Amino acid sequence: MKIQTEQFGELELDDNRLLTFERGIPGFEDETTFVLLPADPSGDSPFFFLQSTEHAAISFFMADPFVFLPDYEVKLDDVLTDQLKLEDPADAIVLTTVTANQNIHDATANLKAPIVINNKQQLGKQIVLNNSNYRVKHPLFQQAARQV
Amino acid sequence: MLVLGRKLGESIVIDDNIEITVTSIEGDLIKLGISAPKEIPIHRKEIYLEIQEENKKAVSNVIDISDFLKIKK
Repeated sequence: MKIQTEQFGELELDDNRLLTFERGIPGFEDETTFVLLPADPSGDSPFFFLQSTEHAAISFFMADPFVFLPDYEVKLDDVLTDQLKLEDPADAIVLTTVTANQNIHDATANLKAPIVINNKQQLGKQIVLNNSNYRVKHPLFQQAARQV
Repeated sequence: MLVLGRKLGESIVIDDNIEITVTSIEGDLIKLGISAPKEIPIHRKEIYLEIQEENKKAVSNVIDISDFLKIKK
Protein backbone atom coordinates (compact mmCIF):
# COMPACT_ATOMS: atom_id res chain seq x y z
CA MET A 1 0.00 0.00 0.00
CA LYS A 2 1.13 3.56 -0.59
CA ILE A 3 1.86 5.75 2.40
CA GLN A 4 2.76 9.42 2.55
CA THR A 5 5.60 9.88 4.99
CA GLU A 6 7.08 12.98 6.55
CA GLN A 7 10.70 11.87 6.12
CA PHE A 8 10.72 9.78 2.99
CA GLY A 9 7.88 11.09 0.85
CA GLU A 10 5.64 8.46 -0.70
CA LEU A 11 6.53 4.85 0.09
CA GLU A 12 5.14 1.58 -1.17
CA LEU A 13 4.93 -0.87 1.74
CA ASP A 14 3.58 -4.35 2.33
CA ASP A 15 0.37 -4.54 4.31
CA ASN A 16 2.20 -6.64 6.86
CA ARG A 17 4.06 -3.50 7.95
CA LEU A 18 0.85 -1.91 9.25
CA LEU A 19 0.67 -1.61 13.03
CA THR A 20 -2.64 -1.09 14.80
CA PHE A 21 -2.67 1.03 17.93
CA GLU A 22 -6.27 0.57 19.03
CA ARG A 23 -6.39 3.61 21.23
CA GLY A 24 -3.77 5.65 19.41
CA ILE A 25 -1.25 7.19 21.81
CA PRO A 26 -1.79 9.96 24.40
CA GLY A 27 -2.40 13.22 22.59
CA PHE A 28 -3.06 11.37 19.34
CA GLU A 29 -5.93 9.09 20.19
CA ASP A 30 -7.34 9.19 16.66
CA GLU A 31 -4.19 7.89 15.01
CA THR A 32 -4.72 4.15 15.04
CA THR A 33 -2.52 2.86 12.24
CA PHE A 34 1.20 3.34 11.90
CA VAL A 35 4.24 1.94 10.20
CA LEU A 36 7.67 1.74 11.79
CA LEU A 37 10.37 3.10 9.51
CA PRO A 38 14.08 2.80 10.28
CA ALA A 39 15.76 6.22 10.14
CA ASP A 40 18.47 4.66 8.03
CA PRO A 41 17.16 2.17 5.47
CA SER A 42 20.41 0.19 5.70
CA GLY A 43 19.43 -0.70 9.27
CA ASP A 44 22.47 0.73 11.06
CA SER A 45 20.66 3.40 12.99
CA PRO A 46 19.05 2.98 16.41
CA PHE A 47 16.49 5.60 15.40
CA PHE A 48 13.09 5.11 13.83
CA PHE A 49 10.01 6.99 12.79
CA LEU A 50 6.61 5.79 13.91
CA GLN A 51 4.65 7.17 10.99
CA SER A 52 0.88 7.58 11.01
CA THR A 53 -0.60 6.13 7.84
CA GLU A 54 -3.42 8.65 7.85
CA HIS A 55 -1.55 11.90 8.40
CA ALA A 56 1.86 12.32 6.82
CA ALA A 57 2.82 15.09 9.25
CA ILE A 58 2.34 12.83 12.26
CA SER A 59 5.56 10.90 12.53
CA PHE A 60 7.22 10.29 15.89
CA PHE A 61 10.96 10.25 16.28
CA MET A 62 11.86 7.11 18.22
CA ALA A 63 14.93 5.33 19.50
CA ASP A 64 15.82 1.85 20.61
CA PRO A 65 16.48 2.79 24.24
CA PHE A 66 18.63 -0.25 25.01
CA VAL A 67 21.33 0.89 22.60
CA PHE A 68 21.90 4.00 24.73
CA LEU A 69 20.76 2.80 28.13
CA PRO A 70 21.57 -0.91 28.45
CA ASP A 71 20.16 -1.28 31.93
CA TYR A 72 16.72 0.06 31.05
CA GLU A 73 14.11 -2.44 32.11
CA VAL A 74 10.54 -2.81 30.92
CA LYS A 75 8.40 -5.50 32.49
CA LEU A 76 5.60 -6.73 30.25
CA ASP A 77 2.68 -7.50 32.53
CA ASP A 78 -0.23 -9.83 31.85
CA VAL A 79 -2.59 -7.06 30.81
CA LEU A 80 -0.13 -5.88 28.19
CA THR A 81 0.70 -9.34 26.89
CA ASP A 82 -3.06 -9.93 26.56
CA GLN A 83 -3.74 -6.65 24.82
CA LEU A 84 -0.87 -7.08 22.38
CA LYS A 85 -1.47 -10.83 22.02
CA LEU A 86 2.16 -11.46 22.91
CA GLU A 87 2.90 -15.16 22.97
CA ASP A 88 6.65 -14.77 23.20
CA PRO A 89 8.37 -11.77 24.82
CA ALA A 90 10.87 -11.94 21.96
CA ASP A 91 8.11 -10.73 19.62
CA ALA A 92 8.00 -7.42 21.49
CA ILE A 93 9.85 -4.38 20.22
CA VAL A 94 10.30 -1.63 22.81
CA LEU A 95 11.00 1.90 21.63
CA THR A 96 10.86 5.32 23.23
CA THR A 97 10.06 8.75 21.79
CA VAL A 98 13.00 11.13 21.57
CA THR A 99 12.75 14.88 21.89
CA ALA A 100 15.46 17.45 21.39
CA ASN A 101 15.37 21.21 21.43
CA GLN A 102 18.55 22.60 20.01
CA ASN A 103 21.43 20.38 20.76
CA ILE A 104 21.58 16.65 20.10
CA HIS A 105 23.46 16.24 23.39
CA ASP A 106 20.37 17.44 25.27
CA ALA A 107 18.12 14.86 23.63
CA THR A 108 15.85 12.98 26.00
CA ALA A 109 13.97 9.71 25.81
CA ASN A 110 10.61 9.04 27.42
CA LEU A 111 11.54 6.04 29.55
CA LYS A 112 8.39 6.40 31.62
CA ALA A 113 6.09 5.64 28.70
CA PRO A 114 7.71 3.31 26.19
CA ILE A 115 5.99 2.12 23.07
CA VAL A 116 5.65 -1.64 22.80
CA ILE A 117 5.00 -3.28 19.45
CA ASN A 118 4.09 -6.90 18.77
CA ASN A 119 5.58 -7.31 15.35
CA LYS A 120 3.95 -10.68 14.69
CA GLN A 121 0.42 -9.57 15.48
CA GLN A 122 0.99 -6.07 14.14
CA LEU A 123 -0.27 -4.40 17.32
CA GLY A 124 1.19 -1.58 19.36
CA LYS A 125 0.58 0.52 22.44
CA GLN A 126 2.24 3.18 24.55
CA ILE A 127 2.43 1.97 28.13
CA VAL A 128 3.11 3.91 31.31
CA LEU A 129 5.50 2.38 33.82
CA ASN A 130 3.49 3.64 36.76
CA ASN A 131 5.47 2.18 39.61
CA SER A 132 8.88 3.13 38.35
CA ASN A 133 10.84 6.29 38.82
CA TYR A 134 11.88 6.47 35.22
CA ARG A 135 11.43 9.93 33.81
CA VAL A 136 9.48 11.26 30.86
CA LYS A 137 12.62 13.18 29.96
CA HIS A 138 15.64 11.00 30.50
CA PRO A 139 18.91 12.15 28.90
CA LEU A 140 19.62 9.86 25.99
CA PHE A 141 23.38 10.21 26.07
CA GLN A 142 23.98 9.27 29.65
CA GLN A 143 25.35 5.87 30.54
CA ALA A 144 22.89 4.40 33.00
CA ALA A 145 19.09 4.26 32.92
CA ARG A 146 19.10 5.07 36.61
CA GLN A 147 15.76 5.27 38.33
CA VAL A 148 15.70 8.70 39.95
CA MET B 1 -18.08 17.69 36.81
CA LEU B 2 -20.16 15.69 39.28
CA VAL B 3 -18.97 16.31 42.84
CA LEU B 4 -19.77 13.75 45.52
CA GLY B 5 -18.57 13.83 49.13
CA ARG B 6 -17.19 10.54 50.46
CA LYS B 7 -15.84 9.56 53.86
CA LEU B 8 -13.07 7.08 54.57
CA GLY B 9 -14.07 3.66 53.30
CA GLU B 10 -16.93 4.93 51.12
CA SER B 11 -17.06 4.32 47.37
CA ILE B 12 -18.30 5.57 44.06
CA VAL B 13 -19.42 3.29 41.24
CA ILE B 14 -19.01 4.39 37.63
CA ASP B 15 -20.94 2.65 34.88
CA ASP B 16 -21.32 -0.80 36.36
CA ASN B 17 -17.76 -2.00 36.50
CA ILE B 18 -15.60 0.77 37.90
CA GLU B 19 -15.40 1.43 41.59
CA ILE B 20 -13.40 4.06 43.44
CA THR B 21 -12.95 3.81 47.20
CA VAL B 22 -11.38 6.26 49.64
CA THR B 23 -8.88 3.91 51.31
CA SER B 24 -7.08 6.35 53.56
CA ILE B 25 -7.00 9.99 54.53
CA GLU B 26 -3.72 11.18 56.05
CA GLY B 27 -3.58 14.91 56.41
CA ASP B 28 -3.94 16.28 52.91
CA LEU B 29 -3.12 12.98 51.21
CA ILE B 30 -6.13 10.97 50.17
CA LYS B 31 -5.57 7.48 48.84
CA LEU B 32 -8.05 6.16 46.33
CA GLY B 33 -8.44 2.49 45.48
CA ILE B 34 -9.69 1.84 41.98
CA SER B 35 -11.28 -1.37 40.72
CA ALA B 36 -11.75 -1.44 36.99
CA PRO B 37 -11.46 -3.87 34.11
CA LYS B 38 -7.77 -4.34 33.49
CA GLU B 39 -8.08 -3.01 29.94
CA ILE B 40 -9.00 0.42 31.21
CA PRO B 41 -5.85 2.50 31.71
CA ILE B 42 -5.71 4.55 34.90
CA HIS B 43 -3.14 7.28 35.47
CA ARG B 44 -2.30 10.17 37.70
CA LYS B 45 -3.48 13.07 35.59
CA GLU B 46 -0.27 15.05 35.64
CA ILE B 47 1.67 12.05 34.32
CA TYR B 48 -0.84 11.53 31.53
CA LEU B 49 -0.64 15.19 30.52
CA GLU B 50 3.13 15.08 30.63
CA ILE B 51 3.17 12.11 28.28
CA GLN B 52 0.77 13.81 25.89
CA GLU B 53 3.04 16.85 25.77
CA GLU B 54 6.12 14.75 25.24
CA ASN B 55 4.47 12.87 22.37
CA LYS B 56 3.64 16.17 20.70
CA LYS B 57 7.25 17.23 20.98
CA ALA B 58 8.42 13.98 19.44
CA VAL B 59 6.54 14.58 16.21
CA SER B 60 9.51 14.66 13.92
CA ASN B 61 8.80 17.72 11.90
CA VAL B 62 9.67 19.89 14.87
CA ILE B 63 13.09 18.31 15.39
CA ASP B 64 16.26 18.70 13.38
CA ILE B 65 17.28 15.09 13.11
CA SER B 66 20.26 15.31 10.82
CA ASP B 67 22.73 14.96 13.70
CA PHE B 68 20.95 11.87 15.00
CA LEU B 69 21.22 10.14 11.66
CA LYS B 70 25.01 10.15 11.96
CA ILE B 71 24.82 7.84 14.96
CA LYS B 72 25.15 4.15 14.23
CA LYS B 73 24.19 1.28 16.50
